[in-house]
Amino acid sequence: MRRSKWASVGLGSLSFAVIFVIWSAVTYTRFVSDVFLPTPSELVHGAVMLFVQRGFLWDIGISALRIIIGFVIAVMLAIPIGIALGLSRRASQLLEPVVDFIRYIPNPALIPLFILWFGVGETEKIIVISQTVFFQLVLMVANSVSFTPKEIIESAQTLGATRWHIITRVIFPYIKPRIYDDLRISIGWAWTALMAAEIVGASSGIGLIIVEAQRLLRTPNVVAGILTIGILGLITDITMKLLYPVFFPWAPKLEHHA
Amino acid sequence: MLELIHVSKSFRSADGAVVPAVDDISMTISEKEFVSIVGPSGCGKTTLLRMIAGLETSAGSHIVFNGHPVHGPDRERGMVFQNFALFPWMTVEENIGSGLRFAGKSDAETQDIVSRYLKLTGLEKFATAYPMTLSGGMKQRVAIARTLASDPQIILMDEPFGALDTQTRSQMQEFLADLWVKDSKTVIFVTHDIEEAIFLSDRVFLMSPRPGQIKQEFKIPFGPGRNHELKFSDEFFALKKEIMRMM
Ligand SMILES: Nc1ncnc2c1ncn2[C@@H]1O[C@H](COP(=O)(O)OP(=O)(O)O)[C@@H](O)[C@H]1O
Ligand SMILES: [Mg+2]
Repeated sequence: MRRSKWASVGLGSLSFAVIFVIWSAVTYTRFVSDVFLPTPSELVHGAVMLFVQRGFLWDIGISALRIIIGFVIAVMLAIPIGIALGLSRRASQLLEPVVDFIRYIPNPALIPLFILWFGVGETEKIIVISQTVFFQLVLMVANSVSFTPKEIIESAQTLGATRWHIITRVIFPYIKPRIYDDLRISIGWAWTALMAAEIVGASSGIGLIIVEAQRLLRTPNVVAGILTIGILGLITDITMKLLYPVFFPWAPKLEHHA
Repeated sequence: MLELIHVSKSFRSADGAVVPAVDDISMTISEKEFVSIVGPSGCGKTTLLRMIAGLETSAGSHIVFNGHPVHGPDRERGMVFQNFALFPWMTVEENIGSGLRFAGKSDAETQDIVSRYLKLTGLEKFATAYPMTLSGGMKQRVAIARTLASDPQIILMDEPFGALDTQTRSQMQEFLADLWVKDSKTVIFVTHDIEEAIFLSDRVFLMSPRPGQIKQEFKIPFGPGRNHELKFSDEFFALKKEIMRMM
């Protein structure tokens, strides 16, 4: 168990190491021009300048705050509605085709419309995130409901649970680990949605920094911005995975999908 | 008092054929009686128990409990499921107290009853453990304690000791016999172990397979306070032989 865990950490680091070596090789030799890809040292310099001169930390904070607000709104809507869909065949027959339809529209295609409706301010950013996360998450939550074993529900019924008890005190606690894992996955979509929104039109945020640097041909800054998103995503993902057994000591390990 | 009046149930199999599971069973069970239902696997024991619990219904079948027809599950008829069906996110004590919580009992009262059943089932040391960390025998005790704590009028038990090894099984049988003396309840106990049925019951119903009907009823003459010595008595052995012969 522990061994295989360290083995997987080792292999994961190995792939990063290989990428780093190839990257250094092609850039320091100027095999690839620095307009296309900076050397590791140029990248570090670019990143430091971003933080020192451009106030990058502020933009990271703004982007993170947008993610958090948009995400929380989406989750607060998606959990109860998803559970309702999972419980009621009629509700899911009614709403699932619509949800599926919207879910399949690529997020950037909706951004121009949202800008028409809400402008390019914070409201639009948050709605873009909430909308994307909500429509992905709601079906995952609905699907999780069906994983509750019939026997657990029946045993609650013979213990005197009402229908409301079954929903709030049996199904919800039982599927919480699954929902938690669904949340972990959907944070990725939140970032995708936000970057699209910030690149199309924003006065702050990581996405703005990236397009701005691109217009000025500051490739190191572009790459630094991109890597920042990856690092934030990785930290969130690892933190959530590490907290899983803390939040759900009773649950068997989930086969983390994606 | 529980009355089963012409109770039948059939299922539709995957290929559309009608499979009778329970066929025209009538019986009356009085208060504080311990009744066993024995029969081979697939003869409809679980289905019958589920109908009594209200988890399965069937047009034309009547199950009347204390003068009221049974329409659905409720806390008057508690059920101990074959594979425990514990709540995995609750600790042992939370599981035992869950029925009391559903009934809206106060913290103090719940705590009180839960600690009584923890003691009764010898689970005090495991009060804060989660079900996944327990052995089969302990899970079974939690399941029994959980049902008892919610204070049903009838306890329905579906082969509760089926998954246990012989030794744990004997211990659990004695534990249940003992419990029944201390905390007298109506019990309907499903098993395919004839010895277990005789040891625990006032009456044993023998079911025949396909369609599930009651083949015969046996009165068990032993009084309360039984222990395993009883299993070696001539009277016990004679009864066992009689039932075996009917199967
Ligand atoms: N939900 C169901 N759907 C279809 N057939 C069922 C269902 N439940 C039970 N049966 C069938 O009914 C018969 C009796 O089953 P059951 O009551 O579980 O028997 P027992 O508990 O005595 O082993 C079996 O033939 C079984 O396959
Ligand atoms: Mg059965």
